[in-house]
Amino acid sequence: MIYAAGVDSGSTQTKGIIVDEDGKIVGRALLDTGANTVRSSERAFRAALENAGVEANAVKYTVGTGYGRYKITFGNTQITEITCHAKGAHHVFPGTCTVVDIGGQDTKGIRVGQDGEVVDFVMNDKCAAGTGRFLGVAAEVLDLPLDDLGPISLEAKKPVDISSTCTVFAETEIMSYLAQKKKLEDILMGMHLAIAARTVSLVRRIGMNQQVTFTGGVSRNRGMVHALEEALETPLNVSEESQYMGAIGAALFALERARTV
Amino acid sequence: MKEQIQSSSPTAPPTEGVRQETKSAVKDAFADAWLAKERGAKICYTYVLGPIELLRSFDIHLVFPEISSAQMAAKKTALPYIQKAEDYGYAADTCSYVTADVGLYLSDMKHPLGRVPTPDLVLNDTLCNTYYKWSEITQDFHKCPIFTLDHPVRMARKNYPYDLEALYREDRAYVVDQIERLIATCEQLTGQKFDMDRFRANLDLANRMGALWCEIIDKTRNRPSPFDAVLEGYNYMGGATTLKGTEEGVVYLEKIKGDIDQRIEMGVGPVPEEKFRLLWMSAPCYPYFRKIPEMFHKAGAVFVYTPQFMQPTRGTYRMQQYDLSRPLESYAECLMDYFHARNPRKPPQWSMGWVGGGGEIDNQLQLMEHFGADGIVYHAIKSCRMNSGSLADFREHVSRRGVSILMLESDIADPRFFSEAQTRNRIDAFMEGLAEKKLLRSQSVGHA
Ligand code: SF4
Repeated sequence: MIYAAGVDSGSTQTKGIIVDEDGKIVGRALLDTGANTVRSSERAFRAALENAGVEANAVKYTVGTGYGRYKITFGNTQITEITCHAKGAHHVFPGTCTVVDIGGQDTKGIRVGQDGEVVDFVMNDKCAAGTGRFLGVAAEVLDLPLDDLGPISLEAKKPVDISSTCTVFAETEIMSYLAQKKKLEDILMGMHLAIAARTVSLVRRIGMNQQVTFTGGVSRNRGMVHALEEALETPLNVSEESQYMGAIGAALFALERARTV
Repeated sequence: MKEQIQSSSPTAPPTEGVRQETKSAVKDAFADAWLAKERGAKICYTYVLGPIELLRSFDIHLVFPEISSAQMAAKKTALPYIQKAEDYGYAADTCSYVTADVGLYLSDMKHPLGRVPTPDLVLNDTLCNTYYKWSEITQDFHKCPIFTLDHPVRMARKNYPYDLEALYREDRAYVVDQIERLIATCEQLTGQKFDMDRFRANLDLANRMGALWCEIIDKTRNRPSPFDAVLEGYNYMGGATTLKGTEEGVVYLEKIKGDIDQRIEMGVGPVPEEKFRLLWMSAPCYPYFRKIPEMFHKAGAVFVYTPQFMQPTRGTYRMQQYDLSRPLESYAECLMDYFHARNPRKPPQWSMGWVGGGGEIDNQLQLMEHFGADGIVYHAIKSCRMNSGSLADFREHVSRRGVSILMLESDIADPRFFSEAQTRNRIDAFMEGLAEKKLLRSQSVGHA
């Protein structure tokens, strides 16, 4: 049995995936990237191996992806997360035409072709507005665990209007709503809707086609899924594996190469 | 033999000489300006598409503010100048060519390449709205007169409601009248009488340069392309503009053409193995002038054309040359027809935008075909609406026609709007997409 690995070194989290020769996911790992990208990539790789119960030398090919991909020195090659997310999403949801990926520091829209190839893509500019970072700031300001934001926001009855998705200004805006004694869930849903609106305008640039698959760390947030479905006016494909999508794509590319080398 | 040259020398030696020459043509411009001033010549600031041949028929030395700002940026020295202008009160989204230039005015005219003489005249023309303000700023700082040359623009549309030919004749008379007034202004400024023969000779030289230029930019149709339209093309353009309408200009372009022919014969190009050919839309990012094209080169991609190649020859590009038997009228036509893209009388040439009526999309598709390109890179410039305004729409419409496209964002002179990691990421992803597309295409051909 041969195996292949994908390691996705993102700005906040690093993901490792091991697939067997049929492309089945046999091991996974997710941990915080921290300051040392090289170390976290290696750790994610090792942890995924352990999870799969596979020895490192059974892995024939490893592809690194994500912003830290060039630091993944133990890998055989690097592929951008844009190409990998498209591949992963197409594998998990073969009907995918559009991928919306919201990560810690960027938001992407990817138009995917029939074979899982990238047709066009857009990314947010040099600013973290409307990305996962925005929610991180909110969690800090509100002193809540990040994972609670989504569930709480779903309780909202009258979401507030957050005009700015600038991560810095948002803080002041949240403070002022708190001072006005607005309900926590309404503030939170307001924030999710603000991110969704920003995402929609980004994704429209490449033209959105059904089906839409939502990937990246933020896709684990149910409040965000809801807000985005409303804003895009379409149901989203979301999988348990959504945040691993880049690593899955990388592992699948690795498998293709392992077969040819 | 061919193989050897390709792998050992990705950048063929012949261009090195031309590069140096371009550098010195552009770099010595200020020193030459001082020499001219000492000789008693007047200094005129003009934008790159200004009436260069006409001004050169007087004892007037030209300084090009855009080229001066671009040089600052390319030497990675623009930022302190831009910041000086911002401290002075200019907004960060003002065209960074302007803020770099204002920074120069605020720095006692000390440019990284030498001191720049102040103008005796500033020539404004109506290509870009920014020029109006820019020339006023120059006037404010240096207390010099402005001459504005206005050329009317007509947008193409279906069922044009006027008699286009009559309208064109009126417009031309309006421009000829302005040219005559410009002549009077120059006569007054220099104390020289206008010499029609000298002007005609300049036009003749410009025609020869125009013809050479058209030949040069078509040579990228060769495979491999002998030069990179961004990395080398913009250098050639800088030289050709600085020397427009002169003997040296003709010699300069002949030399480039000779060098390029030599490269074609040797089968060498900017990269060891050309895998992809791309079009570049809009101006370059001068602060990272080398870095960006080199990111593409790494993946075996070469730029084969940019519609800004129309600039060095202005209205004479491809369709027409100056008619020496009626110099003033013909000059007016060429000034106006640079906007051929907006000139509904003629089919669009290979332009960058502004055609209206959807013609621009076909235009870009034709360019793809003519140059055998695999994709288009749109470069949105933060502080230049003129070049970037239409790109988002183009991206949408051209991509709908199945063309692979990439949108990059940075700035023409301000290094703060460039993020290396993001740019690299986008370029890598785009190149991966192109490679995949090629692979899938070859597989489907294999299956057929
Ligand atoms: S065209 Fe763009 S870069 Fe040139 S002067 Fe106008 S705004 Fe500035």
